[in-house]
Amino acid sequence: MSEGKGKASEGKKKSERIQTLIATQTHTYLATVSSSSSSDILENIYDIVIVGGGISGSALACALASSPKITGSQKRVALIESSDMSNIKEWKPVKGEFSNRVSSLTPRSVEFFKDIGVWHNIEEERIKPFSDMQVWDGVSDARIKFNNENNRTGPLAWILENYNIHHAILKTLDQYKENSDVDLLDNTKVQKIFFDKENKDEQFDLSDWPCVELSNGKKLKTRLLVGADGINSPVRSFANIDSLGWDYNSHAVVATLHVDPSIDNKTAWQRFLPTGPIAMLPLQNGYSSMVWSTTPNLATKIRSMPSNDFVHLVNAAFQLRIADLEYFYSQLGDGESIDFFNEFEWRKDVQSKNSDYNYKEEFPPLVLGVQDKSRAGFPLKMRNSENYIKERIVLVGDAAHTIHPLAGQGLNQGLADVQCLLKVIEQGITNGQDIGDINLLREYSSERYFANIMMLGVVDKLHKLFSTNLTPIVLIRSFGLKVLNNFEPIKAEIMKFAMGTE
Amino acid sequence: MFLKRTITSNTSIMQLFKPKCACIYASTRKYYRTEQSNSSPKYSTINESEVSKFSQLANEWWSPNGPMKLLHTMNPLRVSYIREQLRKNNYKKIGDDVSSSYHDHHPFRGLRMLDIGCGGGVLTEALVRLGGSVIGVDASDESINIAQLHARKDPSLHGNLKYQCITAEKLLEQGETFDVVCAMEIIEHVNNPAEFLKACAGLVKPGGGHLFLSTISRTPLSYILTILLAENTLKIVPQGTHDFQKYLRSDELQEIIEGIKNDDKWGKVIDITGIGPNPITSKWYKLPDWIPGKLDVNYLLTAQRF
Repeated sequence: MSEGKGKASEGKKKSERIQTLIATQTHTYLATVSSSSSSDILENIYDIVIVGGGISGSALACALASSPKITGSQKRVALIESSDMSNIKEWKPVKGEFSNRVSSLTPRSVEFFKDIGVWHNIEEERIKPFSDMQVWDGVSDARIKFNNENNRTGPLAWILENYNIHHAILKTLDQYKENSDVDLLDNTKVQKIFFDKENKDEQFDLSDWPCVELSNGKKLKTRLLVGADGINSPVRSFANIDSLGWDYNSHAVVATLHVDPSIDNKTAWQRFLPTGPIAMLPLQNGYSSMVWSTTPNLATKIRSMPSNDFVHLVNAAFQLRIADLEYFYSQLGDGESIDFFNEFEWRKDVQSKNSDYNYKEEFPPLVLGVQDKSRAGFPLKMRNSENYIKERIVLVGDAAHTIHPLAGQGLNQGLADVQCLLKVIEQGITNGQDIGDINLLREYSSERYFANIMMLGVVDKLHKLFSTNLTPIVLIRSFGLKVLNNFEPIKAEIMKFAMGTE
Repeated sequence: MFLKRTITSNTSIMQLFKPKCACIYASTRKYYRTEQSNSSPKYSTINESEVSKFSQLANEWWSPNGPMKLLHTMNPLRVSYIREQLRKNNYKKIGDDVSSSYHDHHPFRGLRMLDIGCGGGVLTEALVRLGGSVIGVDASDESINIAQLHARKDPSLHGNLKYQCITAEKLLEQGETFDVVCAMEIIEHVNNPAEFLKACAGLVKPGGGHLFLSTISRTPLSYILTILLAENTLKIVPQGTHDFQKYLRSDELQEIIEGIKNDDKWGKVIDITGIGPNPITSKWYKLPDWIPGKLDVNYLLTAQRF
């Protein structure tokens, strides 16, 4: 992988490289046979077609473009995205404004981005590495603190806007343009995926190559079809692969928060409320990103309530007892409502007199405001495909699996898929295998299926464990948290798991 | 390696053994063919019943979960072994794999290669993808037919691949020589290995050409695994698939090869490597030196012609 960046500097002109095996074959072939229908098909032959230009799909295209193994063996790649990606390509961040969709990248994902040349294209000022994390039980206040500074292995994770990541990937992909053969087809919808059983050609039989019919009328035939097309993946449906899982009865509300700028914003906070976890992730001093998973009903109210009241509700959700918070919930909705600010102030006042909280150390910075129009929401689901592969088809990212965001692992899993798929494809090329061969793809599937299902299971159990205020369970989980908090070796293992380094 | 498998439950032994033994069985890439009327007695190494056995299996060569599955999982190791050996001997400056020129990603470019007993073309196709000009030959018409049909599924193979239903003797008579001759998983099924190997060896280019072989050793362990367990006990493979007496130990094989004489001594064996599958992932690996009896079951062998 390390030679990925050096590759870009190689001055080989694309026109010279049209001696691609396939291209050469196509040309010889076209010279001998002049049937227009089959020439159309051979012009549009690809080695890899990626459906879905989200972060995982784009990252795969970029990883393939960065690989000397893949460009050197003249592999032809297409990335198809239905939406217009110019807003991502031309992303111009505004100082003091942050997109509400952020991700936490684990050290493993960051390493991967460095390998494929993406990391240096990230807007550096808008990356927030953090080494501290506090997670606590909203019912019992049992708390676990992670601090990776002592381990000297660097930050626990980096918080970035999804735009920042996606923009950097597309920029990097563009920089590889000279030396790679990746067609980026945005604004292009996939109309239909099928096997072209009709076309009986004299020389070639591509009837088991997936054929992707696009909205521009083109039909791409591909040796390997990659579904990076999200939770409702059309590629997965085409492959007839079932997706198993459930919808959590909860929605996530996201928002960009203005927080007390005098506080050094370097900790990720997560409080488990009985309705679901609420998390505050640092963006910069003075700015944080919130992800609040809660009931669909509450989520709707939280998204639409007045900004001022929202700010105090978020403060209450992090700082007040559950009973107090429930009073706030009861005041949401139409009609006369209470003064949220006063309610928060006096309740916090009483609470601080009756407890020994260290507000500065144990709670996130006070929320002062919310960025205009930054509140949004989406339903939460858990899914895992029964299989990630079929002959000539492979699923990555959300098309393969979808996870609850409470551990910030979704995108990192997708990137780990991409990393693994790159490795498997490279290995297939080294050994002269057809990269659509199911025997090769099995290596991807066996590695990623196990890893993903572990993570899905752990996160799902965490969600379930904390989504109750049944006393015995609260007692057990609080005891567990306290024991864990004092047991450094296990904490270190948990951190490694969450950081993707294990 | 194989004994480890017996620890697992009955069903998983079945699963593990099935492809493995089917592979040994299937990859008996018979190349000898009875030359009907004009076959000379010295070509009696042929076993007609085996040829028909493989003809019947021809349709299974490329089925993803078929009896050849383990052969497919074994193939990447064979290919990387061939390249590694050619590179180690700096034969015709086989390309360095990590540099980025077109040639280096096709390390077999410029090499004339022969795959004896190619079956459905599992090894043959891989050699072509890495740049070789390859002829695949097999005794079974049906296998050659399947191989030809399958090659149509990959345009990148076009132009560098030829399949032929022909014997090694015929090729030899035609004066053909090759940089690389492969005869993988076949010696254990011929009646007269020495004669067979002599034909193979004659097809190798003098002055450094390579002969690659893979087969099963004749040891108690391989008897237990391939005959007792697979054929007689578990009945995964039809009884009589393997003839234990035909297995060759690596030292015997080496002796035969190094005993071949054309005008002078033919050449020498330069590497023998034991291989085995990981029973969980079914991926094949070279067995490290510290494993006792690493050459006792499956092994790969490289010989080079003087």
